[in-house]
This record gives sequence, structure tokens and C-alpha cells, in this order.
Amino acid sequence: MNRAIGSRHWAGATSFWLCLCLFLGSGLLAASVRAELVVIMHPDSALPSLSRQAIVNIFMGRHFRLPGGGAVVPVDNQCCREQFYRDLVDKTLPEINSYWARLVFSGRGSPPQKISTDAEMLDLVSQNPGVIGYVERSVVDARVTVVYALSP
Amino acid sequence: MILRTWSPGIHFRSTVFGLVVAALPCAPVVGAGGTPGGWLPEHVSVAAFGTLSLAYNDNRDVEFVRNLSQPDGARGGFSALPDTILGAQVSYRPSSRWELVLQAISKYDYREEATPTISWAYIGYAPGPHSSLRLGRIGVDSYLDSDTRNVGFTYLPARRPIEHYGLLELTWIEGADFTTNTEAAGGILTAKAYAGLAGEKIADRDQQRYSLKDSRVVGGYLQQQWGELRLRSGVSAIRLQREAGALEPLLAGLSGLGMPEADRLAADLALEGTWIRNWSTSLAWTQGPLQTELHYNRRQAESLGLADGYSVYALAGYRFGAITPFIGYVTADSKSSRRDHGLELPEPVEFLFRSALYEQRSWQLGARYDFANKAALTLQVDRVDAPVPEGALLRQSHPGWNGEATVISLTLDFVL
Repeated sequence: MNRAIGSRHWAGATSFWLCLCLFLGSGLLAASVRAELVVIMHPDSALPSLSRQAIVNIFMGRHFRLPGGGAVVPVDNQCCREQFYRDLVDKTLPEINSYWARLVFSGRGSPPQKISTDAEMLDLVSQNPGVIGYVERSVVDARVTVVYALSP
Repeated sequence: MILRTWSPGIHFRSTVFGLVVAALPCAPVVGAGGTPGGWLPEHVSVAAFGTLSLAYNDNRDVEFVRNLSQPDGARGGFSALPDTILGAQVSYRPSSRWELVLQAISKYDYREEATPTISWAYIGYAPGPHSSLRLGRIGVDSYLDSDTRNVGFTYLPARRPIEHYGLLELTWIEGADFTTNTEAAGGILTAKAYAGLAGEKIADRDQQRYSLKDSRVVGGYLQQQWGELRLRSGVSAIRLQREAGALEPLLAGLSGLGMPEADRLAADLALEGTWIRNWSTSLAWTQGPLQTELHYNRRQAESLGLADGYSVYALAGYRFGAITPFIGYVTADSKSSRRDHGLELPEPVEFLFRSALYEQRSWQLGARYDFANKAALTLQVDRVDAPVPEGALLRQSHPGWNGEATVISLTLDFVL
């Protein structure tokens, strides 16, 4: 009888740890398969790369100039906006919207314009030297240049 | 238990205004820049914000208010009056340099109603990407982020505390401001200057209204941003243009004594033509899920009818998933401006000196739940303590009130 109970406990504990490992493993797997995002500009921008802080300043509406002095216009990509701000500043979309509401309702700025897909972003950036955007690395082609890669 | 809702005094227009704001999400297109084919003309954008709130004050001996423009609020029960706010903004930007902005806001104030008022109406010009000039009715940010104190979605607590933000309800001026920023010291340096005339009214402790209309306002600040750290220091000053109605009989009585000392005292007590200066320094730091703020403000008043004072406000929150618990502490204190004028002061004057004093501190404990990308619920408990009940920043306290109150607030904040 006691052995049967002990056996059931053992089986229950094993199941629990198995489920926990599967749960954590699936989370890690999900994190590991998140796409890598890259920040892109027109090849004529002549910038080998940008610093993370420069990208934060541009996309958070603080400073719209490149290190070389040229003006730049940030554009958000709807398809990966949530991941972009998570990776860039570890903020959720409600926090980003709250941040922009503070600027909009104090007259200090407007959030970046938004486009819907990676393909539209590539078209937009490749045709406008002053625009900066972001896409998944897997879709990048020769029409744009990568100025920063975000770790997922 | 008393369930207080919007008072019957609320004007019909506020209802219409609320309906307009509530209808915005149903509109086919709401977007910056006016989407071609949408209902907005090109270059026109509409935005709105709001807070729907219930505050419960457990104390029947005092009215809990959000700021000094409110004559009453929550007492011994629930009230939607202190924190319920609706606002809408329409912008027209024909180019990257020019903009026309109109903003209206509906909130309970000194009129004992919530009729919408125009809080902004300005034309803006940006000579370059890092500077802007605005002319018209513009928001005033005497303290860090005080120009968005009515937009609850932009901060963690249910409200910005009265002890720091609510002492002077100066939210707009009619004038001009100029803002510029540049890269400096490894970060971004922002400078702003403003000047104009005030136009708002406040409800004082004696339930009388005091008008700031035509009072001159000047101010400015410097802000340095290093990454997610903001450090801001500035000053704002207002030259009161009018005498307080409650003071006039006293001043006339003193002047009528025919004594030089009494004349001098009357001149020292008068508000008209005197300056109030607010020096403020703030630090705000955010790092991923962490948000912190520390504020200090010092008030200096030329009139002896107003006390000098200071306030300190600290706030910290940390996000877990969609929920951000936070804790805040604020204290405001003042010192008597009473001086020896060579007179034995009559009781009304002594009372004036005493009533000008304020001292109050509060703990804020709560949590914000971001249940949608542009909406959040906040549950908050405020523990208010006024060591000298007569110096509380709350309203209409009954004799015998012990200076304490516990307020529980539930707010729904949103932006559109």
C-alpha cells in the first residue's frame, strides 16, 4: 500500500518536473526562434553603422540627426513593432504609447509614421535616403543597408 | 455610503463633448496625417485622452480634491469628480514647419462643473528639426511633465499629487514659448523659455474664487537627457494681477488705521503686483521595466499673505508582465511669513498668517494594469496626513478632523 502511494507520488513528481521542463523549454525555444530585427537605411546614407543610443534617440523622437549631421525620419513597421521596442529599450507597446502620449499631448512631437509590412518598408527606405526603418534580417536585400542589428 | 456622480451643474455641452470623444473610436479612420480616403482632411489629425475614475474617501470630515481649482471632491464615499477628465486635440500640419493645434478639456473645476474649456490654441513654427516656436494659448510645464498632468495614461499613479503638482493650477498661458535641443555632454540638452499671461481661476480654501487672469508668467528650464535619464531644472514666475477678495476688507481696515506700521503691513500682505517664483528640479530614470522619478520644488512668494514652501515627490514602479506596481511619497511644507511690524496684530491678520500655511504628506501605493495597448486600469490607495488639519491641502474640513484620510481610487485611462 505504502509502496503504491510512494509510486504514485514518484510518478506525480516526475510528471510535474517533466511538464515544467517542457514549459520552460518551449519558452526558451520560442525566444530562440524570434526573428532578428535589423535597422535599415538607404545605401546613400554612407553610414557604416549607428550606435544603439542614436537609434533610441531617433525612434523615441528626441533627436532627428545622424552623427554626420543629416536629418532622418523614423518609420515604424507594424508587423514587428512590439518586438522592436522590446529589443531596443525593453518596453512594452503600452509603455511606448504612454511615452508618445506624453509628447503628443504636450505638443513636443508625433510618433513615427507606420507602415504595415517588411516589403513596404524595403520599398520606402530604398526610395528615400532620409528614412530609417527596421525589418527582419531574412528579408533584407541589396536595395538597403543595415546600420544596426538588434539582438532578439 | 454616498455615490457621487457628475453634479447637476454640469453643462449640456460637456455631455456633447463626452459623446464626441466617446465616438472617436467608432470613426472609420483616426490617424496622424489624415489618411486619404478617410473622414479627416489631409494634414489633419485628431487625438483624444480620458480618465474615467471613482475615488473613495473614507473620511466624512474633509473633501479629497485633485488640485486647488476644485472646490470639493470625495467625502465619506465615492466620487467621480476629482479625476474624471476628457480631452481632445485637433492638429493641422500643412508642412513639417507649421502647425495649428486646438485642444479642449473637460474636468471638474472651480465652477463646480466640467464644461469643456480650450486649453490650447496655438500656431507653431519649427525653423529646424530641433527648435520650435509656439504662439497663442499654450501649455505650461512649470514642473517636469506638468503639461500632461491631465493625461492619466502618461504616468503610473491615478493622479499627480496635489502636494507637488496641484498647489498652483497654472496649466496654460496666452503667449509664446521657444524650445531648442542639441547634442551636448554625451546626451541631449533641451532649453525652453516661455512668457505670457495667465487666465485661469482657482477656488481658495474659503470657497472663494481667485482669478489669475492677466497675471504675467515667465519661465524656462534646462533639461539634459543621458539615455533613459532625464535631469531638469527650471524656474517659473507669476506676477499676480489681482487682489484676493477675502483680503480686501482686511487691507482696507489696516490702511484706515492711519498708522505707518499698519500701512506697511497692508502693503506686505497684498497679493496684487507681487511675484511667486517656483524653482524646480526633477530627475526621471527608466530602465526596461523600472520607472523612477524624484522631484523637488521650492516656492518663494513676495507677499506675506502667501507662505514660502517646498515639496518633494518620489515615485518608483516596476513592471511584471502587464502589471506595474508602484509606490510614491510626497511631502509639502511651508514656513510662516509672519514678521514683526511693530504692531500687535489683530486676530484676522494672525489668522491670515496661519491659514496661508500648508503642510501635508501622502503615500501612494497602487498598481497599473495595461490591459490594452492604449488603455490601462489603475488601482491606488492614498494615505493622506496633515499634521495640522488647518494646513491641509484638502477642502472644507470639519472642525475636529484629525488630519488623516485614506482614499482608494480606480481609474481607467486611455488615449485614442
